[in-house]
Amino acid sequence: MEQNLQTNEEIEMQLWEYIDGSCPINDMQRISILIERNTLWKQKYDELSALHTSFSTNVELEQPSMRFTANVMDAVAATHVAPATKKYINKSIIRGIAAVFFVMLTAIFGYALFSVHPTTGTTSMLPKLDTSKFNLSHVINSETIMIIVAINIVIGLVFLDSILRRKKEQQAVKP
Amino acid sequence: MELDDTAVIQMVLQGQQAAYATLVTRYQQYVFTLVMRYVNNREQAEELAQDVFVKAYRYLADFKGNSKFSTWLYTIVNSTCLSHLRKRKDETILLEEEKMVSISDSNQAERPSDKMEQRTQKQMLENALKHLPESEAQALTLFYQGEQSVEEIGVIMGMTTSNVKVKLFRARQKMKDILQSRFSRELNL
Repeated sequence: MEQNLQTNEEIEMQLWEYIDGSCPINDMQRISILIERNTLWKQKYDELSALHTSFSTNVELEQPSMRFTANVMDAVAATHVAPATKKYINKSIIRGIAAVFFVMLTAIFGYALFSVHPTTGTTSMLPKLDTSKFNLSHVINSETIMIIVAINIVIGLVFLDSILRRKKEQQAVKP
Repeated sequence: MELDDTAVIQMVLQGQQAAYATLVTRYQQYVFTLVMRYVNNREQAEELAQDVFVKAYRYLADFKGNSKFSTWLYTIVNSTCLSHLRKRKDETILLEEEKMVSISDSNQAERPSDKMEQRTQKQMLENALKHLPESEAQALTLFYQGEQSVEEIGVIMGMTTSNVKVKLFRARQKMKDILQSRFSRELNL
């Protein structure tokens, strides 16, 4: 019974894609053959087509009041078109701020690194840390590092996937 | 000859404010219908729709022409309605689940033979649409009345294409179920 329901849902999903014309050409051909030869597919196709036509033709747009355009134009009269965001957000300012932070961090790190005594490894700037108190070898071992690396790889792939998906969608939207 | 959206936008950006009325007239029904999918109250919907057009006017210079003007405008509809609903969340929003429960309840309560025979197909579809969760009704309206592609709906609603496909599928299935259980005789489904 459950399997039957699932099959019905799968058939309907494919048929909707066929009706919308959003499935690949191979699938279009396969589905049109199934509609021709299979009674269940034919019956479902007729049912969904009727619904599709009904949605396209029978749902009317709502009509706002007669004064709607006039009201909007009255409201608009009191406002001005704002300048495009890209005009007032100057990228060079953002880059400048980033550069200042980068230079500051590099300078601090560089100073700390060069002030380390070459033989003792101590520095007057960095706080002294008694490393003997912290024994993290039982926590940070090769297994933990592998897990962290794996998590990072997964996060990286998810991020890459979202970027590629967004690019693909933006290309599809362009008229 | 009717000017296309891009030409009208250029005129408005060059200072011809009155040209904006063309865009308002052209899209007012679409915008108002979409808003009505979120707030089922004509007065509120009209205020929100007006708000959408004022926002669109204010940020018109930001329309880059990478997409259709309608897609950009419907994105404003979506964000305006969502922020409006968020503001009055505690007062009126019905949870989607509650809404669906009420559908199943009303399905059992009403019989096709009641008043339904007098209704037109249009009214039946409108009625069924009102029982869908806002986002699903919105997706259906954008697809059928707003003439937006699945990809464009994704941009408007901030979803991936596959999520839009799933949402549309669910919306249509629910509409089919509602129509079949309540109006099958009238619609000959």
